[in-house]
Amino acid sequence: MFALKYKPDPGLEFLQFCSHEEINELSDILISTGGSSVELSTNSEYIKNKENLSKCWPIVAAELQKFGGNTISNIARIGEGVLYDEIVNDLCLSFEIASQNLSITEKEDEILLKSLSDSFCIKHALKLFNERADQTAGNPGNQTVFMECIRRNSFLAYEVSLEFMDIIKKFAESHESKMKKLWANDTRIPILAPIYAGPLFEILRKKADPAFRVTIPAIIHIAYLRRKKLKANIL
Amino acid sequence: MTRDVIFAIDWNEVPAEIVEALNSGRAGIFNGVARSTENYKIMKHMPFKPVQMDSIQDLAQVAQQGQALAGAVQMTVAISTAVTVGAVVLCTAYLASKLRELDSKIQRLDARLHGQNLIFYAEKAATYFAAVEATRELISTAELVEENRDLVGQSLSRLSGQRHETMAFLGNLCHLFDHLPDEDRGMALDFFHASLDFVPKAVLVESQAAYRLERFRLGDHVRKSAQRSYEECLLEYRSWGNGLLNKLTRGEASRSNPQVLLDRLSEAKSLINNDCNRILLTTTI
Repeated sequence: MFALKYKPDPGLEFLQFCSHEEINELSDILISTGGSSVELSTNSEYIKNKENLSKCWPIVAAELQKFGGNTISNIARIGEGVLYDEIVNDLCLSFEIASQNLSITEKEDEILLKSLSDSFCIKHALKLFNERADQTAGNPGNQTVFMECIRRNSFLAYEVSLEFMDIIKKFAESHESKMKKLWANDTRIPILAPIYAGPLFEILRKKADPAFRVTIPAIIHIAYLRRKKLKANIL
Repeated sequence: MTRDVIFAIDWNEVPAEIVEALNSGRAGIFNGVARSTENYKIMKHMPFKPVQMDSIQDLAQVAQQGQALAGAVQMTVAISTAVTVGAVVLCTAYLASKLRELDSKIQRLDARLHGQNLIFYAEKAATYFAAVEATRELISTAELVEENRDLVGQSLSRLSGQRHETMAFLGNLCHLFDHLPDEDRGMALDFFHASLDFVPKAVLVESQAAYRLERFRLGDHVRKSAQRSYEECLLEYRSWGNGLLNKLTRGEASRSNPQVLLDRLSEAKSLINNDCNRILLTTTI
């Protein structure tokens, strides 16, 4: 087995600003979804910093890069990862999103929007959005206008990513048995539930490549963290 | 390690009505005397007690000791902190040691950017800080002030102009960061952090010099004016820093670009969140 090695990656550098809890959630997603391919849980640096994972964020990022490499080359466990942008491009391709000329943040927005297009999710997101429409960008009225608002407003994108996590979490809670059936071998349902439920449920099922199980929830979580950091400012 | 004895307010000996007046803002402490903030009339000579300080290098530690000497009320905590920290700045070799640090940063910057405008202004800032230390010496005892009131007055008029020049330079320096090569930017940032951290102490000396001459309105004006410039400068810096870091968060920065700031992130955060500096700019002693 190759040692995890982080490739300097503009798309993931911001993880250095994340707290232990935030990195822990990301590593839980990788460990829970990665099955036997996961190296993170046995990595000495990871184990050493288990109580303060913000110190070893590059190792967690390297694990994601490795899974991204799997989806692209389909060669498992070669130890060499790919940049986050490539992982996102791969998912955009799978979602039929035209990602050329888009920045990483814009690509993530499109992925979030694509996921939101599920009828259950959009209904709830629209309801929440309309409730606060007066304080934001006016009443969006319908789905198309709503999505355009998100594209134009990074703060709104953050709000949506927050709501998105919340909505799918609630969905997961009400569909726990379905979740457990799908992931019968996984004992770490709680952290996975928000990610695997709702709109991504069908998408995940359709994807042949098992590495998508890892990269899709990880990308959604990273998109959420990125918006959280942009909203808060580092200094 | 140097051990210094400074004088801190003995809150146990302060009458309740004075504490109440200080807390409500009806009174402030000027030269160790509680005076009405409305007409600067004397309300009470504050009681002091000697306190031994283990270190004069870290004002945050000193501030904590100051806070421990105060009661639980917010304003007395601020006053106690300001008095303790102020005493260290005014009565010990703290400023001189900071001045040496600053001087070495300017020399390093000078070696890289010799002959450029940046150095011209950096040296002006250094002159200001040296003048602050000279003024501190002048006001270190009541006897010195009494004997040299004219010199203190001259220092005051000189310091005011130099302070404005320095603050303007530090504000402009934020805009220059992006135009400097990485190595020079690192040195410029070090200089900026050290200088801006020095400013509240310098303003304390300047305002105290005014108070020692019983020019209370002038002292108050210096503090308030400097506080505005200081906060504006910090805001500029924050905005520049966050712009750079947000670029990195959005995945749009090359690795080397924000690295200089990332290497100094804890210094930047401690400067921006330095309550001790804010207390020095807002509280009279």
